[in-house]
Amino acid sequence: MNTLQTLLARLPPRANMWMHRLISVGLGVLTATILHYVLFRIALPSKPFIYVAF
Amino acid sequence: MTPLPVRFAPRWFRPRSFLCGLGAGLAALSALGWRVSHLDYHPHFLRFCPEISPEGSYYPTVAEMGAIVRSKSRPDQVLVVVGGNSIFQGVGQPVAELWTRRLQELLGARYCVVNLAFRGAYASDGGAVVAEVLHRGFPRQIYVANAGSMTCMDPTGSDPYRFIFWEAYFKGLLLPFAPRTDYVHRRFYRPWTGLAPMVDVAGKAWLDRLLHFDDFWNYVTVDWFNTVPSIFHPDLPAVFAPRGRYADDEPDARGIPFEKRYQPAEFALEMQIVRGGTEPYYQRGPDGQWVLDTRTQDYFDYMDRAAMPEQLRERTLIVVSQNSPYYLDRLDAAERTREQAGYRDSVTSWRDAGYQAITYPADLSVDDYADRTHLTATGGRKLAASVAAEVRQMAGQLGYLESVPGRP
Repeated sequence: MNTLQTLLARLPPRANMWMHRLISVGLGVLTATILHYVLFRIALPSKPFIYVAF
Repeated sequence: MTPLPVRFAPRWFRPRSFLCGLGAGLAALSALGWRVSHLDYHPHFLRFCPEISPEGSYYPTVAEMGAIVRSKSRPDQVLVVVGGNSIFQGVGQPVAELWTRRLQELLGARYCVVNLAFRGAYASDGGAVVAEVLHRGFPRQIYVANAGSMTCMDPTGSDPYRFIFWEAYFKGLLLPFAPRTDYVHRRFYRPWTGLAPMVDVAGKAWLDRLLHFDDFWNYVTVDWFNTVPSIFHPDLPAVFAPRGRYADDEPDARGIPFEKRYQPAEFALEMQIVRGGTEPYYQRGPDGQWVLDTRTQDYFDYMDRAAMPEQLRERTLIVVSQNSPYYLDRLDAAERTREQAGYRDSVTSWRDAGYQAITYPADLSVDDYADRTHLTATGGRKLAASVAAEVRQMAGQLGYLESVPGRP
């Protein structure tokens, strides 16, 4: 985290601001993907098929 | 002294940008999910083999099955959707000799046969739901499913496959039908818990309608990489292999030695199952004949009528499946009579409820069975001939073969 902070601090102020935004957007997209997948997975039956069927 | 502000996020974090990314990500995934729900990503589909069915922890969606049907069937064809259990799915028959392929050959190009049967499913499971959902787009359709003697339809399907019914029910894809809705309320809504048992199912359907996560991740699982471990390929790296890569390798039961198909060690158990099919429901009448008890009759009638709207029942063919003669021939005379009464009364019960119903062709021999219930390729061919004749007759009666303006 500190390394990222240091790297961003070296950028010109305007580029620094856009990089902050871009990384936050990327993090948002990643969170959306994880949330989307978690919604898919939690809805799957936890009991294996064989125990439900027979 | 002023306390220093506590920061829970790093300095580079921008909440508004994060929320924009979150919203845009969910919107994009939802749009992709919606898009793939209209794609048939099972181009070589013939049936639900274990890797793409709940046995392999894969849960096909209604849209996914609908896309399979749409890609195979033309509007000018009579759509024949096959449902039911492993017998109709074709367990014991390799892909090349699958009975529904034979059924398609016999029916010809005016018909399109799609096998949506699942192992251990009821006649009201997957295929029935998908056929009903597609009813408006494919009005010339016949639904064919098998059911055991002395069994009925559960209007919501069986436990392992009820997820298909719930998806269609809570997404509002089924035809309005009050008796079925009443059944759902009576069975699943409880005065002391209210809606609580249904919140997860209904909530999931609502969220999925919005975000299409089931369709999206099923597509990823089939075409890109497997995201749900399966009992068939639990180890690395096979666990990540896309499900679509696996071929349907159902063995030909005729190649399995007779003693394996009819195992002597299982004989007593199998006979118990055969007897148990009718024993609890019949009593001897004053004239010595087997009489089906009225409570069972009434229960079957109620369930079968509540399972689907009347206009769908008349285009539904139920084939009452029979046990192998290997076991039937070993029943005593009285048990055999009761078994025959079971098949006869089952057919009558289905017909009384508004369905078309038949039993297996009379010429099935021990060799036509892979075991007590499943059919070999030769048995499948006989079944296909029998079902094809019935389907043709139904199509004629239902007016499906008359030319439709604007259609060939």
